[in-house]
Amino acid sequence: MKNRPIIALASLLLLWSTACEELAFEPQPESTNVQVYEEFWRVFSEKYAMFEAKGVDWQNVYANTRLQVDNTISEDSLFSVLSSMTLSLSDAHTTLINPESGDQAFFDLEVGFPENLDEELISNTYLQGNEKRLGGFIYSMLPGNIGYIIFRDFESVITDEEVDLILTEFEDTKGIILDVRGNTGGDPFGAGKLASHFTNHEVYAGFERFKTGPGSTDFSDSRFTLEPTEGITYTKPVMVLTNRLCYSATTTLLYLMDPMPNVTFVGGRTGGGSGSVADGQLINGWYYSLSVSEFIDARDRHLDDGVDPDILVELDPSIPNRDEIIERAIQELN
Amino acid sequence: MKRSILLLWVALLFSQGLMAQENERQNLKTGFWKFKLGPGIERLQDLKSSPLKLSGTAVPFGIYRGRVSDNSISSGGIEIHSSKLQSSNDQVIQLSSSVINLHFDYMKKLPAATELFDTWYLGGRVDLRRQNLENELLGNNMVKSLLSSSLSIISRVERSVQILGKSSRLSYTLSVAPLSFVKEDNSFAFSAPQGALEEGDYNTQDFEHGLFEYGELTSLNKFTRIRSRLAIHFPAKRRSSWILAYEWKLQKYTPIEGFGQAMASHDLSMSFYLPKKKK
Repeated sequence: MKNRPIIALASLLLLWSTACEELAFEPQPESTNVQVYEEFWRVFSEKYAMFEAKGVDWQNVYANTRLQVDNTISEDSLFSVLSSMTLSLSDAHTTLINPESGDQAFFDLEVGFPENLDEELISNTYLQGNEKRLGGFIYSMLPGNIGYIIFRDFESVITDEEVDLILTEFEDTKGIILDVRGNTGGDPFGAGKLASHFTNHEVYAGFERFKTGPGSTDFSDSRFTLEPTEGITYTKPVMVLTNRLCYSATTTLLYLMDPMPNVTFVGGRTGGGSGSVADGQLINGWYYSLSVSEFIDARDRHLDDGVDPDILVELDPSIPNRDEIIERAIQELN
Repeated sequence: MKRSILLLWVALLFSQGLMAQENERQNLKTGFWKFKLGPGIERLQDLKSSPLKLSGTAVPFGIYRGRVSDNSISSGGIEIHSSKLQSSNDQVIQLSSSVINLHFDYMKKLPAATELFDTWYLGGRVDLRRQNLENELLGNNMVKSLLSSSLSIISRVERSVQILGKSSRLSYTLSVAPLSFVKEDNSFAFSAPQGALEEGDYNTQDFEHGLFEYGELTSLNKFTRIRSRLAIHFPAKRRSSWILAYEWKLQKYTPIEGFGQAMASHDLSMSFYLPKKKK
């Protein structure tokens, strides 16, 4: 019995710690249809960065969709409602996935646009087996002393040494064609690295506007001035070939190179995807991703829906063995 | 300004250590080693990611080295926690959590005794804690890291108790951190520190941030760290002892109002206290 005060005190401490802990944690919502809907709407309301640029009134989206959801509708119906909300943003960085059923909602940015790329044609007509490969790069000399570099994927790691080596080979060319058609992105730091080889002075590219709080005006801007690489730079004319699948990190490359006076864009309209992406899981386990920033370029353009190149050229599939976009770039360099 | 705060912080940490060493030199002391292992439960709620509460079991491990003198205790140690956390609703969210904590305590015996406790210590604790939360499903923000260093007030009371006819010591230790330096690698929505975005420093060419860069000095309104430990010391051979302890730790960081991250752990551990020779 001598220990009774100690036992009482220990119990009191346990109660105290439990109470403190409960105060620190917020109540957890139940995983009902309505709660999933409300969470989805709230997460996008707080974190999505481009409602204004996209012309989407998210409050209005709520008004139009909320009544379609109650706790009796099926999982498929709930997914369908959230999908329609996702697609209303016309943003290929913004997705919704049900990992159990495999259902996915994402904006298909190619719809309504020509492909403007034929790999077989390029291989047969322009590379003809003479190409070299280095990391993610394929490169070759074209007739007329023109360097041709293909880079299709920013998932591939780019090193300065690789770019130095290619540009050293092309040192005496009269110009380079950089073909990034079909490159849907990857690591945007690769874009920064590649772009830094095509200038020998600082280039102001624009600013990235990040969502930094839940309020509708909680944004912070990061201005981006590209520094030239310490390695090899190429400042003779560069034709950058584009199509609708130039997206995400490729858009980063394009806005970094756009202010360079030696650079011209040739091809089809780009895909956009200028924002940085974040992802998460809803309370029912569904996976989502969304754009949490937007890039506004040095010309004050909102880039997320893509932009037209300096010279708009489409591929004509009816003419065999000819890539009009490459031909136009060659013409410009000559 | 930020650099000055960081320097002040480092100076505070060093002065704490030097003061302790100086005081130690003036007393007879016994060095000790302590090893801790035991099961634990960890709970997490990160409102920037999800309102779901996650929990899981952990096996905390710790090694400590310290000294006890007639009127003070000082110790330092390293603790490692790693666990798999999952939400209770069909485990739809699963995270790997890993925590590493370095700390140094110095407590001075106070000339106060009550009927309930015969010994009372009061002092300070400095620590450095790195916490990583990893969700393998997320491609863009897979890992969330939080680095924190706190200056805590620590108090410990002790008394002798009879357990199973054996004379044992009961101790209760409580520490609360009124001042902390916190650096989170993720901002409100993106995988870069909030400070970097607010200062407009982010770019996709050469953006990097040092371990402590973009951290902030905070107080209880933004960052809370409480540690409570109840322990019974069972004497063993040659002045060593077994220590059965229940430890509760709570940490809450609220960088943005309404979007706090709370983490709590409950550890039941068995430690072995191994004294070294008396000087």
